[in-house]
Amino acid sequence: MRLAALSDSGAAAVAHAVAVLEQTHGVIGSAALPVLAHPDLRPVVDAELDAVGRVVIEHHRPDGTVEGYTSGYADDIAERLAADGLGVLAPIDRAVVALVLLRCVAMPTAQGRAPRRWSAAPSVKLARLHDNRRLSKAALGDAINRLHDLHVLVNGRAIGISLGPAFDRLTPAQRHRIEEDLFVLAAPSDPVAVALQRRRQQAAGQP
Amino acid sequence: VSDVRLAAARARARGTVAADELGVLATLESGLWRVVDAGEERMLAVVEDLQLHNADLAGLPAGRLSLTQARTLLAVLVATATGATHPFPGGPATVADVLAVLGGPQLGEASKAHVKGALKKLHAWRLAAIGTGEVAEVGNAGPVRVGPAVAAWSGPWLAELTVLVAQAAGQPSRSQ
Repeated sequence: MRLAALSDSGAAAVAHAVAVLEQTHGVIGSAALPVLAHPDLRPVVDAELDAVGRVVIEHHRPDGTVEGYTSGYADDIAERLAADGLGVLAPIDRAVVALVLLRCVAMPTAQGRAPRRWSAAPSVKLARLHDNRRLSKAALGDAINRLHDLHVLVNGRAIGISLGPAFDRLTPAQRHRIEEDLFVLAAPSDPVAVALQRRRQQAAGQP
Repeated sequence: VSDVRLAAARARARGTVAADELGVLATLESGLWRVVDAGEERMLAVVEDLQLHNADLAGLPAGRLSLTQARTLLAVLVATATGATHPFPGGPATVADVLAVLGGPQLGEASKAHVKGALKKLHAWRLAAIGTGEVAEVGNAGPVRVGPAVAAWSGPWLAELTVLVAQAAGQPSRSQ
């Protein structure tokens, strides 16, 4: 079913849900968007977002219930955009994001303290990022400001740098891909990392 | 991957709609999506703008301008006002014009720096366009225009804003 087939109130609820999903930055509490739990209206939201290559992403609590929602690019679309170079960060910005991911997600996870949501992971102090001597302080600061404006990072200044709401827009498959990237980055010669890279090369070689 | 899905996603990721995408994007649900003509470029936007349609933003992780950013944006609208019924595209102005609206010589150096910082943010969010091309210049003689995101503004509140801006700019409004 599409929007045109709904009652005025149903269409308004769907339009509002799409506007909220597309224009906010962060996870929207499930109570704010009851239309996404509605058995008849949720499929319409899904269909209207799919029409522009987007999907609803559900965020779950540890008990499995839905905590909230975001929207993001569908997996097939995200691959095409990346192949086109659209939305791809500059190399230095990617390096800074990788540093923050290592500090905020990979290291706590390796210590058994995996964050429930990447954007809710504890922040890292700017001084820790300066430990990486290959990035000048000026280049690092500029990149953080750019990434803050893109909602990729949050520059909490004295509080530290944390992952931004853009990460809430990743599907589980897209997050998994980044987790694999981090693993390869941290231990490139590990047999698992070697197998991951081989599998990707084979997949890239397929028509 | 359908042409429409991919064209819409490309337009969103790029921030602009290419000429050859207009045809397929015209098939999108008009109650949800619209292509906004912003002068030299076009953008794919959600019809319902949460910031502008009196939506209740309480409890939502929506972006909000700081007080300095909001005042600076209003000053840009005043400095570029032409008396037209829509603030986009507006007329040309300079950073000095924007500073003059906000107090001119009475502004301290720190306040001027805050305004110039706000102009850079508004430029990044495409609400204002400062400098030429991709370079955001904030020198006093640097050019300032209304940003392409303003082209998406619509709704009954726009007439009130136009009157307010025209009064502040001392110009008669065509909507009056």
